[in-house]
Amino acid sequence: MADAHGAGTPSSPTEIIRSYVRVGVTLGLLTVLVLVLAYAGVPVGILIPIVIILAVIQIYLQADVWMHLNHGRRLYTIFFVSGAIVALEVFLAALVLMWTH
Amino acid sequence: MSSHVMDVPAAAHEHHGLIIENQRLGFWMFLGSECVFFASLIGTYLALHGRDIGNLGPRQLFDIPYASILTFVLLSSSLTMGLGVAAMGRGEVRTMRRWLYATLGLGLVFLGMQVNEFSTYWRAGLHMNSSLFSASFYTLVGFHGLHVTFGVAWIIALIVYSYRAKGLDASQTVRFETAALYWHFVDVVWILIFSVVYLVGVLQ
Repeated sequence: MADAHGAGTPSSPTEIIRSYVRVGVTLGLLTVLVLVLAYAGVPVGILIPIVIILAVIQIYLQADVWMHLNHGRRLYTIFFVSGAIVALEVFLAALVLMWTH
Repeated sequence: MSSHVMDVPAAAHEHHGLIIENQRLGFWMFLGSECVFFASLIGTYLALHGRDIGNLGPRQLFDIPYASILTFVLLSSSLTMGLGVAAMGRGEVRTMRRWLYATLGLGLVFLGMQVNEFSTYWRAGLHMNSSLFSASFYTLVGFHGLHVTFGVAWIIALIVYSYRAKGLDASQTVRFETAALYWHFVDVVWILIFSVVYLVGVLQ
């Protein structure tokens, strides 16, 4: 386990637990914020980009702290991010193909 | 002579470490491929979600408070999984097992709630072949549910294994680490599904 953590990652057990709980609470609060905005009557044109941005922040927090993506070996990050980039391309291609046919 | 004898276990240890590193690397590659898989399903859903029939579309069917509870359950399970792995890092097998049980329980709650959600839609008349919206929705959320089911089975196997294993060395901890990575990834996908499928579906 220890070798999965690198520089910048909390090292003491208490720090690790604190950082995990902090991220958990932050993710919960961001979800609540999304719900509040959804029911607050914010115009849809503004709300949808906000929802997407908040989802990206949540995903980044999960990948960074809980999955140790930025603190493990660089090769892991490269393989995962490569997959994510291909995923984004597939996602956009699927949207373009289906909307134009 | 004696140095030669000492080199054999050192080489074996190095080889063993390489295997563990390869397992981790292979798993990250697998997660990268899973990104592509879910991106294609979400892209397809977004392109087709407007093709519903009459009163059986996202606006009429999706229950945002219910989907929010599903989100909180899965987020909590990701936290308990992380705390379990942290306990494993400290060598506290019993504490780790308790967190694994908590993760398992939350995973089962999530699955039960999702089965209930699907059966509600089914009773309302939204079947797999009702519309392009229903087909893409059931495929996307169903595949995510299958991933959660596999994760639950994996956690059960790890709990059983933790009772049988005597201590946890590096080759054993990597099994728990990869299971935790998988579980966090499934949670990441759900955050996307909640935001893009449920919220955007209802708001649009």
